[in-house]
Amino acid sequence: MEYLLSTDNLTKQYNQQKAVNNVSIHVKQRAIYGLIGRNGAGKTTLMRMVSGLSTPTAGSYSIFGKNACGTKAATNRIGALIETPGIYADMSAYANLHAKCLALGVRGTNTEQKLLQTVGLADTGNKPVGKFSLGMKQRLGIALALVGDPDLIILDEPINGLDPQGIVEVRNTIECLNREKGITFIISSHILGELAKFATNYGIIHGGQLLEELSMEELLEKCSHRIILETPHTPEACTQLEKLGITRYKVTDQATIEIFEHLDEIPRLTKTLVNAGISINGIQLKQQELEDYFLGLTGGIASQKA
Amino acid sequence: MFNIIKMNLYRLFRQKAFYIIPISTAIMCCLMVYLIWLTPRMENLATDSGFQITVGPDGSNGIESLLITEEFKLTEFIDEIFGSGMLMIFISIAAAIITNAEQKNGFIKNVAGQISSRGMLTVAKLPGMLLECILVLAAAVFSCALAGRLLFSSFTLGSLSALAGALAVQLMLAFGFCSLILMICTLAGNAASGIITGIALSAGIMPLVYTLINKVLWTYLHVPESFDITRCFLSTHLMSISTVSDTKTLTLGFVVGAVYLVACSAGAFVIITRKDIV
Repeated sequence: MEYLLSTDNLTKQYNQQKAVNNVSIHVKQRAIYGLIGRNGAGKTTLMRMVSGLSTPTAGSYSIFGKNACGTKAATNRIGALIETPGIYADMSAYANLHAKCLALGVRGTNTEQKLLQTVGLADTGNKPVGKFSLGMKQRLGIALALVGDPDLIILDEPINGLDPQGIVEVRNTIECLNREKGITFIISSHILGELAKFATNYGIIHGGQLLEELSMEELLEKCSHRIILETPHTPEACTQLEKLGITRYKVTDQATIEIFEHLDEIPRLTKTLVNAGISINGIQLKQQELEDYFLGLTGGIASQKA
Repeated sequence: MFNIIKMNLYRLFRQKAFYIIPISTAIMCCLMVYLIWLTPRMENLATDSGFQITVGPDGSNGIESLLITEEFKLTEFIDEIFGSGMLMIFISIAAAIITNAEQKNGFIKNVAGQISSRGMLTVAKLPGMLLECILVLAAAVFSCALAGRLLFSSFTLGSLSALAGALAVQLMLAFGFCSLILMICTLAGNAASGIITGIALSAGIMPLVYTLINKVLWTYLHVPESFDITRCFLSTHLMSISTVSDTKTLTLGFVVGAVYLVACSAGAFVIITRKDIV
C-alpha cells in the first residue's frame, strides 16, 4: 500500500466548465503535499471532492488502496479545513470542538482539551470564537479537522491572511502533527515560499489540470538552475529556441528570456543564436525559487498553447 | 443519526434565537390579548352596550365605574392567535434559523464529509424544530392565560379538551410547516427564503393562488368541483384549526401536517445528499 490517497482522473464539471479535469494525484503516507495553483486553478474543488463535500462528475479516488468515492467509511478518516474555518462565532473553542465530537461520536476523556492543547488554544476558556484573531481561528479550524484522529488532513489556504507570527504558528502546528502523530497533510497555498519550507511533495495544478507532481528533492533539482538569456532580439531568439525543441521558456521582459529545459546545452544554444545573427548580451545559469518554477511552468504551458 | 441529533441539540441550547423566539411569541400574544381587552371597552364606550353603569348617590355616572359583564375564554384568545397566522411567522423564523445554523458559518463543512449519510444533517434537525414548536405553542398558551387573568375580571380557560385537541393538531401542522421550511432553506441554501415563505403564507397571499389552482383544476382538468385544493395546504389548516373545529377537520389537519412532515423531510434529505456543500 504505497499511497495513502490517490485520485484517478478525478473530474468536476459545472455546466460546460471543467473545474477539475482528469486529475490524478498521489499522496504518500506521512507526506506534506503542497498543492500549488493560481486562483481558479481547481485546488479547492479538488480538495472538496477528496474530503467528501462534493461529488466528482467522473473519476474516483482511493484511500489506502480502497475506493473511497461515495463511501463514508473511508472519508471519515479525512479531516478538512476548506477555505475559512467553519465555526460558531458565539461559542467557545471548546464548545465548537465538543459539537463536532458529538457529531462524530467521539467519546474520550477530555478530547477537546487535548486538541486545544495540540493547537495552542488551551487557555482560551469561554472566550467566544468570534473574538479570536485570524491565526487563532485557523488553529481552531485545524483542531476541528483533527477530531476523530484522521489519517489525512486537508488544509485549503491555511496561512491566507495571517501575519508572519500567525504563519509561523500554523506552520509549527502542521510540522509538529506530521512529525509526532504521523498525520499526512494536503495543503494548498498561494505563499509558495512558505509552502516550500515544509512541504515534502508538490502537485502543480493549472486550469483544472495537474501539470506536474514531484517530490521536494525533484523540485530542488529542477529549481536549482535555469538559463537567463539576455538579448535585444527576443522574438528572433524565441524562434531559434523553438527550432532547438525548447518550448518551456518565458519572456520576462523585452530583453530577457528564461529557459527551463536543456540546461546543460548553453554552448549549443549560444552557437545557434550567434549563427542566426542574434546578439547576446548575457547568458547564465541561475538558481530558481519555487515561485519562479511555478510561474515558469504555467507560463510555459501558456506559451505552448499560444 | 443519534450523534447528529445530539450535536444539533447541543448547539441549539446555546443559540440565542432558541430562547428569543418563544419569548417574542409570548410578548406578541400578550399584546394581542391586550388589544382584545381594549377593543370591547372602546366599542362599548361608543354604544354603551355590554356595560353596567353604576349611578352614584350624587347622580353622577362616573366612567371609571364601568364594569365588563362579558366572559372571556382562553380558547377564544388562542383561536384568534391561530387565525392571525402570527405563529406561522415565528415558527418559520425558528425553522429557517435552525436549518441554516451550520450553513451560515460553514460548520457543516466540518462534519458533512465525515458522517455516514449527509442527508442525516437535515433530518437530525427535526427534533430541535419539534422542541421549538412546543415552546412556541406553550409560550402562546401560557402568555394568553396570564394576560387574560391579569386583564379580564371574568376570565375562564374554556374547554380544555378542545384546547388540547387543537394544540395537538396545530403542533403537527407546525412540525410539518417546519419541514417545509427545512426543505426550502436546504434547496435555496439560505434562511431568507424560508422566512419569506413563512411571511407570504401567513400574510394571506396563498388563498388567491389556491383559488387560481382550483379554477384550473375545475375548468381545464375537469376535476369535480367538490374537490378543493385548499384543503391540501398547510397554511389553510394552520390558520383555520381552532378549539371549535370538529373531529373531521382536526383529523384532516393532522393528516396534512403528517404528510408534509414526511414528504418535505424526505425532500430535504434527497436535496442535501445530491447537493455539494459550499
